[in-house]
Amino acid sequence: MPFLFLVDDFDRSYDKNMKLKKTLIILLPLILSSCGNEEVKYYQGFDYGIFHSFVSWTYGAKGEDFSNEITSYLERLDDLSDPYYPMAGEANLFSLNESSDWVAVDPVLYDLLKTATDLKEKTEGYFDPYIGKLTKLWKNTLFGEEEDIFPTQEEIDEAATKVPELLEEANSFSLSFDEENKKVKRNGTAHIDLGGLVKGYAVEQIEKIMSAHGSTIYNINGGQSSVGLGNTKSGKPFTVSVMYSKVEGENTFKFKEKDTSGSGVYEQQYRLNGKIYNHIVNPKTGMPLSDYSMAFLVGDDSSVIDAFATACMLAGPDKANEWSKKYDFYYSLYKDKDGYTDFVSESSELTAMRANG
Amino acid sequence: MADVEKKEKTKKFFLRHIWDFVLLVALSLGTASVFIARSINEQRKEEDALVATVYKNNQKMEIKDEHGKSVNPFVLSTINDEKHFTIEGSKTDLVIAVKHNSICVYSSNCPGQECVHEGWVSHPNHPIICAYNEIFIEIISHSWEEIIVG
Repeated sequence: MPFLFLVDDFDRSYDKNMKLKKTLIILLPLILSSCGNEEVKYYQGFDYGIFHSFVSWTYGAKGEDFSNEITSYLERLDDLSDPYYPMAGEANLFSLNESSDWVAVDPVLYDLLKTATDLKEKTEGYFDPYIGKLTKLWKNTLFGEEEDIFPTQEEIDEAATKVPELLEEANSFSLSFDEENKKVKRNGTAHIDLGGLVKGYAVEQIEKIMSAHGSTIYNINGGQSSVGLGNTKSGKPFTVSVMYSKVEGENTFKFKEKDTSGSGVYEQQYRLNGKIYNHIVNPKTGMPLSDYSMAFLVGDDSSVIDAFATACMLAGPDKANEWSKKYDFYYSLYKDKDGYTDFVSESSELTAMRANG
Repeated sequence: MADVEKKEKTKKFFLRHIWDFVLLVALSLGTASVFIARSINEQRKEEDALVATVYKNNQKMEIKDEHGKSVNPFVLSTINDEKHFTIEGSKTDLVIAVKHNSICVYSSNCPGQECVHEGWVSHPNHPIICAYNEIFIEIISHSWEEIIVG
C-alpha cells in the first residue's frame, strides 16, 4: 500500500518524500514486470512400451523437466510386467509365470500384482488378471503373426474347445503375498496377464510423480485408453471425446482433474458371422465376445477405473450402475451399431458433464 | 476572499501531492497493463497451435526442408502450402505430406499401408503409426485440452 503510506506524509520532510516517490516510480516497471513473469514452463514427453502403447504427457512445472524420471519409471514398469520375455538377473511377470515357488519381486511389481488381485475381487471377477493363457489363446487365434490373415469359423470353434479347461485353471488359481519380504507365490498353473490394468496403473503412477514435483497442470495419455487429467493452462475444463461415435461430438464431455478410461471392442477386432471377436476376453465365459462395445469411465484413480472399464463393458449396465456408486466413479456404456457406439446408459453425473448437455 | 483562499489551499494540496498522483496513475496503468498482457497470453494459448512430431524408433527424426532448415516438429497451424518430405523408415522410405493443420503419410512402401489409409489427420492425440517402419507421428494441440478416449 505505498500510496496510502505516502499521502500520510505530513510529519515527514517534503524532500525526503519526493526522493522516495521518485525512486518508487523508477522502480515501478521492475516491480510490475516481476509480478507479470509467469514462471511455469511446459514440457512434453512420451514413451513407447507399456503393452505396445504410446504413453505421452504434457505438463506445466516451475522447475526443470522431469520427463526422464517418468520415462525411467515406465521402462521399468514395462519390463517388470512383461508376460512374454524375462528380465536379465531379476524376476518379472514372465519368470513369475514360470515358477511355483515363492519369488522375490520388485516392490513395483509386487504393488501391481496386489492391486490387480484387489481389483479382481472388487469387480467380482469381471476383471481377471489370471486369464493369461486364455488371452494368449485368443490373441494367437484371432491376431496371429501374419497380418491380414484371419481365422475361419472352424479355427475359432477349435480354439473354443480349449476354453473350459483354461477357464477352470484360471478359476482355481490364486496368488499368495509375503508383504514383509515382497515375495509372491502362484497357487495353481494359470498365467497372470496384467494387460487390462498396467496402462491405468502407469497413468496413476505418473500422476503421483507430477504431484511430487508440484505440477497440477497436466495431461497424461496412456495409449488413449487411460488418461490422467490435472488442471488446464487456461483453467477451463478439458474436452474429452469418446472414440467411435457416429456423429462427431456426440459423446463429448467437459471436465478436469479427473482420470478417464475407455474399454472397447473397436481396437483389435475381427467380425465374423455377426459377432465381434476382440482382444478383451470375458473371464466368465472365456470367449473374446461382449454384449456391449464400449465403456467410458471417469474417476479419481486411473488403476481402478481401468479395471472397472473392462468389467463394466463385460457385465453390462446394472453392474456398472451398482459399482459406480460403490466405488465412486461415473460410467457411460455403449452397444455396437454398424461399427459405431450406440448409447445404452450412464451415470447422471456424467450426463451433466456432457458438452452438448 | 474565502474563495481565493480555498483555491489557493487546493492548489497547494495538489502541488504538495503531485508525486502521489503520478505514482497512483503509474500504478493503475502498470497493473492494468500486466492484467491485459496476461489475458492476451491466455488468449494466445487458446488459439491452438497444432504441432506434429515424427519419430522413428522412439527418436525424433531430423527432417529438413529444401533450404536445409530443420522442420520436425511441424507447426501445422503455420503451414499454408502442401509440402512433401521423403523420410527413411526402418525398412522402407515413406513420404510425409503436410498442409495447414493436417499431416499424412502420403505414400509408403510398407506392406500393410495402414499408415497411408489413415489419410489426412488433423486431430490432436490421433497418432499415425507405421509399425513396419517404426514410424510414429504424434499430433499435439498447443492447448492440449482436447482428449480422445477409446
